Amino acid sequence: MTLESETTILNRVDGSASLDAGETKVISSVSGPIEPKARQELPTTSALEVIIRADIGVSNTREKLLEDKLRAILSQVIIGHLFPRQLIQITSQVLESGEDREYTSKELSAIVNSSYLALIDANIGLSVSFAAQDIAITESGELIAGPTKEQLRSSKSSHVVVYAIENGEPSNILFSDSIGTFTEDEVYRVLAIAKQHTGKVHQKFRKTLQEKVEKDFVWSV
Amino acid sequence: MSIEIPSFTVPGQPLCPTLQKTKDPKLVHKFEPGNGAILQQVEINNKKTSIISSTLVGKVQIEEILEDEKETTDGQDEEESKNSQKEDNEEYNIKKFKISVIPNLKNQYNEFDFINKETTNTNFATNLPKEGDIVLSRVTKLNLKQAFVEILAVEGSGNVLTDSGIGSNGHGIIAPGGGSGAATFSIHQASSDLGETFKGIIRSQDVRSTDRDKVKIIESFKPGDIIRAQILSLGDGTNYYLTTSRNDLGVVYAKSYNGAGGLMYAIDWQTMVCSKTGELESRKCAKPF
Repeated sequence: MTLESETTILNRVDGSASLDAGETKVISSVSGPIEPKARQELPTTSALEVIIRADIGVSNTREKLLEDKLRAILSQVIIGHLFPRQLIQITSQVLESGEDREYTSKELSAIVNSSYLALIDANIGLSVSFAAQDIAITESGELIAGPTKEQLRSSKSSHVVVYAIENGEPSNILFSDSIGTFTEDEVYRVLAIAKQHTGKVHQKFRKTLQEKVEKDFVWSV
Repeated sequence: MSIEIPSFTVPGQPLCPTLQKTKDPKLVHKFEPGNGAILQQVEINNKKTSIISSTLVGKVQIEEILEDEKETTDGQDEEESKNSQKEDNEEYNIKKFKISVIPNLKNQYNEFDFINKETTNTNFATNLPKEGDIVLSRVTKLNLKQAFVEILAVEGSGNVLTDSGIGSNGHGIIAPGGGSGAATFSIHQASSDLGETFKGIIRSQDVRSTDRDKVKIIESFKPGDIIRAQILSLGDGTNYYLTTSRNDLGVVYAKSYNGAGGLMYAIDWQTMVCSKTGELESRKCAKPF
């Protein structure tokens, strides 16, 4: 599975990142902390505005559901009290979805991963790192991490798992989403496989972030 | 054996089964839920039974429903149910009762005060904050002259609007009526969905009764604090006017560092201490007892 990422690709937002996970390509941007509209303002924490744009057509209920899932993850990790009465706006543009409309697992994991990089690029305080992995289970019960469009089409269930990463190692589950037919035992296997893979994903992100830090700071006088 | 119906209930407490035998083998009592009571299906020893349970704290009231009231209703469904009733009636006489729970709203020491059917119709109407009420409210915004709050509950009668549950409209925390997705104000979701919380203002001269002109709002309240306050007036139509100028009014619950730190306890009238770090912050504290 290929995974390529780059930060600071847009120059009119506070943070941005692109992610290329094979068939799926996503750009995420973060603006914040910025002035919220009066109706968004929260007294003690930062408001989150999550926008997901589909690769084709206008966003509909499918994108709204993805927005809510992303919000569920991000509201756990962003340290909101650092920016009370302010707004953090996260926008993800799907460039290539790499899956049929009835599936969302590949997009969701790419969106989560790219917003992680974009949030770091925007210098938004996070209480913990995180990484997502999508997994499909075939009819024969085999687990595929990062399935292709074809594999997803013939699978009986698809899953997205997001792990919190502490000290470079996956620790807690931040989010787990499953669609299809599966057993309890299969979910536990998915969680175990995802733990290994999110660790690898994070290692790749560390390289991206290392490049970012090298680029952003002047190291010699 | 007949089951004794409790005279005073709490939410969720079963009151009685819908059908109950009496000493007279030909007579059956049938109960229907009224205000403050609901019909529930429960499973007892693998048998499904319907019971009536309470949804309020209050006194149980039982009224007999007279048969001729029912006759006035029409429609096919009614006729069918009447037919089935007739079959039942061949064996038993059914006496119908309405069972309701009357919340003990106002003066709990005045036993003649509470039976007033008009005021028990809806929870919403009875819990509206009015002049003189003690309320719990949350601070949302400060400026130099006043603190803005939203009213959460009226003391003695519960939440201003009912809680429809955390996360029923998505995930995360969102301001009342705010943007895409969710709304999770922990106390009254329905109202915050619509952006219709009951708002209030505490002006600096209403914070305490002594040294009123030297009050600094920022040293009295912080956003996120829960405040016990009294309603001064209904205000300008948008905001209630509240006061904390009494010893037993003021901040009752606060967390340090703008709500991010640990729980704080009052150590005197103007200071609270963080239980984790020992840091001191100034507040207009309420007398805890």
